[in-house]
Amino acid sequence: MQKYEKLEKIGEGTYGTVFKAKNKETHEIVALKRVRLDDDDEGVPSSALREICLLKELKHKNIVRLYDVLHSEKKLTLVFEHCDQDLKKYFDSLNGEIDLDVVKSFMYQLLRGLAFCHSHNVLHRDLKPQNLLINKNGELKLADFGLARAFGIPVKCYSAEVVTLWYRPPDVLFGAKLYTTSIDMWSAGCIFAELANSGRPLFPGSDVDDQLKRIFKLLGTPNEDTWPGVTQLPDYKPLPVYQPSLGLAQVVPRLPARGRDLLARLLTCNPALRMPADDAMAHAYFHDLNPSVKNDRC
Amino acid sequence: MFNNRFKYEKARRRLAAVTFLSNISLDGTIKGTDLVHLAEKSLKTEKADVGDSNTEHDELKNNSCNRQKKIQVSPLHRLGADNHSLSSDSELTNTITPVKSNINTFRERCASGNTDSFKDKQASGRVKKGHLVSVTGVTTDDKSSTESLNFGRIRNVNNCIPENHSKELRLVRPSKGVSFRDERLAFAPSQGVPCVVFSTIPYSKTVRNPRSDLRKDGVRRRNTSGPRPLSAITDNGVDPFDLLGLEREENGQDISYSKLLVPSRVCTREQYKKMYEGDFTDKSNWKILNRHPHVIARCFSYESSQRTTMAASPPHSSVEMKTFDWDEGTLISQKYVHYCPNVLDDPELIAGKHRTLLTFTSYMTSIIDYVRPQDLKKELNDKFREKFPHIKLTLSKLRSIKKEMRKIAKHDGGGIDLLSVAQAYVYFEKLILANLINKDNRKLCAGACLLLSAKLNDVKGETLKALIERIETTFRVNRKDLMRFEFAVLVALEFGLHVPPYEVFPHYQRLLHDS
Repeated sequence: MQKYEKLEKIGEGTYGTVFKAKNKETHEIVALKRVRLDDDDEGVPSSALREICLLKELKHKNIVRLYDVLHSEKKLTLVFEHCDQDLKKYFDSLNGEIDLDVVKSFMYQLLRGLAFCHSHNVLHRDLKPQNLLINKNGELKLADFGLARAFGIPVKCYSAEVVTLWYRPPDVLFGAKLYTTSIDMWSAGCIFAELANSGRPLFPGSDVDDQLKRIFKLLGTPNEDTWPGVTQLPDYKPLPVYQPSLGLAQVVPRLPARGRDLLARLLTCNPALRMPADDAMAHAYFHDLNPSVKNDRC
Repeated sequence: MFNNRFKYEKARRRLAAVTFLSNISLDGTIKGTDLVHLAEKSLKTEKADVGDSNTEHDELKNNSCNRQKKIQVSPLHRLGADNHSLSSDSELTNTITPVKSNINTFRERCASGNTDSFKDKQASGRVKKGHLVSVTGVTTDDKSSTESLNFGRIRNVNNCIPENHSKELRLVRPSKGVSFRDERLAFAPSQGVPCVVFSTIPYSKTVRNPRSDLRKDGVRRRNTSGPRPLSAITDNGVDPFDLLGLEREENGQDISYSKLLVPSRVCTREQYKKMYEGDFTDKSNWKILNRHPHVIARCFSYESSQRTTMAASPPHSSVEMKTFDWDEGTLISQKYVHYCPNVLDDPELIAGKHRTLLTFTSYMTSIIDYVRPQDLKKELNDKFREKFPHIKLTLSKLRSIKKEMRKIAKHDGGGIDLLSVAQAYVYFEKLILANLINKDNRKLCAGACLLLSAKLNDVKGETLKALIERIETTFRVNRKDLMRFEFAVLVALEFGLHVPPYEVFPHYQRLLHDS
């Protein structure tokens, strides 16, 4: 570890400790994720494997960059681009309400990063504010690809134990084992609402049932008409029938009509009808987006 | 006709034997005129050689003293003291016995070959160590790495036949209780020429002929695949990084793989050619690879729907429209870009040439003659070798390993899906195409590919544990090695486990089709 000087511990990841460190030559600040390798165990943890192999292919402005992989006898160190804070901490640091232009900019960048992942056959599967990094320049980057996976050849063997509960779409809550990019789009919708509400989570459920009820209270309970095939899902259970009573206007009062329209298209229970990332980027809500954000290509 | 030939052969052998025997005088030296010349000549060359590599010989002596004792115990006579000491110094093999007995000619041939190979080996201390170890038969764990260090290099010493120099002659009357060990025997009638000459070599499963690596290039050996001892290659010696020809960490220092983190983009044909221009000697093979996609498209036939996928997907058609920014640095890591799923294990390669195609005006028909499975296998393997001369694996072996991988995946109550298997095939075949698979590492690599693929396909917890156990039992490898190979394979594949669907799909479809 001669090349980097450890500065402080940032956190404990799913499979190891994360340090802030400085490159001794370039003085660049990086984030180091340390993974222990145990011969007798199961080898390289799959989360580290996913991060290495997927981030290798995903070089984009809105995706955290993996600079290096260091290997020694007993451990693996992933060297990441360092960002000052994540979206969760950003929310915490807000005094009062978030600027709606910032909401638009962050949302656009989130969608752009996602569109890039999806065009490279990668599902993130764990989008949440903690996994979105923000740097000083107001750039947003997707991070933590430890749960990500490739898609492309549809097989019914994807894990249903993905995405933090609050950001998990109803189809996965019902145990769907075949999903596609729509899984990330639901999470993006939840994050969009959370952004607009300056960090108040949209569906803070306590368990799967509670989560489903919170969703259906807002959006109405799906049935075979609104979502063909829903009753066939592995963990489907009949839930109280709620009518879509609450309008989105009450849930995200500060969001303009176009923003609410985009939100409604992302928060669609039927995954087949959920809006994909590139369509969302072209949505009317972004027409008046600051051109510097829009044209800022990777 | 046959009889005549037989008689002629017999006469010739008889003559040779008589000449040989009559050339041995009572004191054991050889009289034959031209043979003596050769003997002198070889002595001279050997002396020069000794001068060259004195230090090495010293080392060798220490290691080989056990061995020397053995040699010296048995002989009754020796063919000249000088000659013998030289040979036991530089010649450490104890195995193969010459059919002809002109030791000196052999010496000369061997000496030149061996000094070459010794010089070669001197370059890398490990190799030498491996060699000595296997000769003395104390431990055998280093051999596989010996081989891997050598692979890829073209050797020019493969004609050398190892020699034994116990050269006494003693007469044994048929009686009970006589045992032969490490000896060359000749059966002879009480009067006349020897009719059978053979050697006894101690049998050992693990101690391989130390020269086998030299022979490998010249004469192909059959790769047996039966059960082998768990510890055959490993326990402590094998370094998966060596075995895969990779760099590895030293003194606990971290090794950086930043250069492998370049996205694996599809490249154009020109760039592809450029890539292999300097550093690949066997460019012709790559040309075959390069050309092959067209062939595949044509011969892909067992399901018509597939033809459309193939036509749409091969890298060539789509790639050339795109332009990429290239810098020299990224070129190197593009080794695996042009992988075609059917190039190695061609689904069409199931019938041999025993097929007659009849073209009629309104239809075509083919007649496939009966062929013995063995012949077919040989023919297919030959075809495969012709196509990929650098690959150290036969087609039948490749197919049987793939079958085993499939078998591991398929399991009642908690197997892994075929997609993972298909993806593992892609990894494994890429390793083969990169010339990294050999007899010693193929099972570990196949297991590691399966493991990596499973991990990326949401196999976890108990299912993953069970999978690892099945890999261990089916491939007869131990977990520690498997885990070490996992990372080595990951590096060998340049972290490129996220492969495009068109590389995986044909494998997946074949797996579905076969199940």
